[in-house]
Amino acid sequence: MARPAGPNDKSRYPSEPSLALEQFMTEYGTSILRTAYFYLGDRHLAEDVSQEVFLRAFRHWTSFRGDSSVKTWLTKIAIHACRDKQGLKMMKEQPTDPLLMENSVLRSVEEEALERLDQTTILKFIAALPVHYHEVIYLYYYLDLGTRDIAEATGAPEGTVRGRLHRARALLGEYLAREGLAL
Amino acid sequence: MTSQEDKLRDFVKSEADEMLFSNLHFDSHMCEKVKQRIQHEANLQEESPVRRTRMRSLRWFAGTTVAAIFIGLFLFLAEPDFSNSPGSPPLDQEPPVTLMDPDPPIDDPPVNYNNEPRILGSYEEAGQAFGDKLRVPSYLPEGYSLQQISVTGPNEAARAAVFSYTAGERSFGLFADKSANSSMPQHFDETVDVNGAAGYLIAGEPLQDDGLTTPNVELHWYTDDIHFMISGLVSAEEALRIARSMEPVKHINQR
Repeated sequence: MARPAGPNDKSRYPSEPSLALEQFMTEYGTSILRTAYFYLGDRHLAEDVSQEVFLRAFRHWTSFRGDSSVKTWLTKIAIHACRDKQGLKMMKEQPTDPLLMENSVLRSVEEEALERLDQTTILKFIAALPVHYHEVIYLYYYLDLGTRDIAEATGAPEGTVRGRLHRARALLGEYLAREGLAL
Repeated sequence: MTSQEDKLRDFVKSEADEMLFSNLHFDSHMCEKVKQRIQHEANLQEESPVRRTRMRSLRWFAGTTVAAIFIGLFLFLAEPDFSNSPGSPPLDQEPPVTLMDPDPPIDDPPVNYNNEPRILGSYEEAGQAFGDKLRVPSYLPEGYSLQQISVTGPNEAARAAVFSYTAGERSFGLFADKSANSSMPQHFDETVDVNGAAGYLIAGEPLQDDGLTTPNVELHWYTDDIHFMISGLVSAEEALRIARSMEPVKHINQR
């Protein structure tokens, strides 16, 4: 699993792109693949996109100034690549609120997976949240990105990210309370 | 971080790993594919000067041949004196201009949907990029100022614009979206009036941060078929006041 994002950690990586690439793929390959799958809900598309992410990272590594952590930078590339791919896949314009993805794997899972989802403790309640909260929950709780990193990766103001996260938590708490559950 | 947050994080990770992402690993085979693609691009780049020249010549030749056939057919079928009309192009002109660069630089993505946001410097530039229907606020809550503008989509036909406003640690975003599939939220707390249009307000619990209480809301509405949204750390009253103060960009610039 990928390590938590830190501030500028560019110096931790080799400056030579092909060597840095090796390290990116080792450290973040799986989390980038899963992020792509989260957005696209299709394993083959996710594999394509994650390869594309590392290709773009390889091309732009020397010009990456290190304003964010490498993890945030790679996640940002992945989100953009998913938006490009969704444009191709859906042949329609991408919803352009940077935090308003209208699709997440939690909404597009197949029936069998839906049954399994129903057996989970938390995920089924997250899936029941309005879809635009899925992204912020995934990036914050699963990828361990901070609100500033999420803002950087998605292109939304940090206040928007924090507001969304807060509302998602409150709504999740309501859902759990309704079921007599608490964390 | 609270233990409740830790617990939630643990649940999300373990359940997502098990239910959504099981057997989803970036394996050595995929690493190899990335390296092969890089190698392939490097090979193309090495041969590209010769190849580009050759390809351009071939395309020019093919283009002119096709053009000549079409012109010939057209002349054959058209009025006899059409080729002498003032608007007709001379036949010995430059190679035909193709819309696609026959050999684009390899750094370009294969298809560009312009999903990469572009940063702009002023409301005026945003208006030019987005079009006349863009409105911006003439009122901002005390302490807030415009921090950044980004637009997504083609030049002069941007699909979306995002304005970030900050006041110290607080910030909110104003989103303008033309997409036909950009719909109003299905879950909201209150409907409000935004200059005669229905606005949908989602008021979250205030954020508690370092002993400070910060309100946070989301407000959606349509004006001239544009979906506007204010989202971030402002109160419902402030969001509404911002929304009601929205004016076309040219009005703001005239002040």
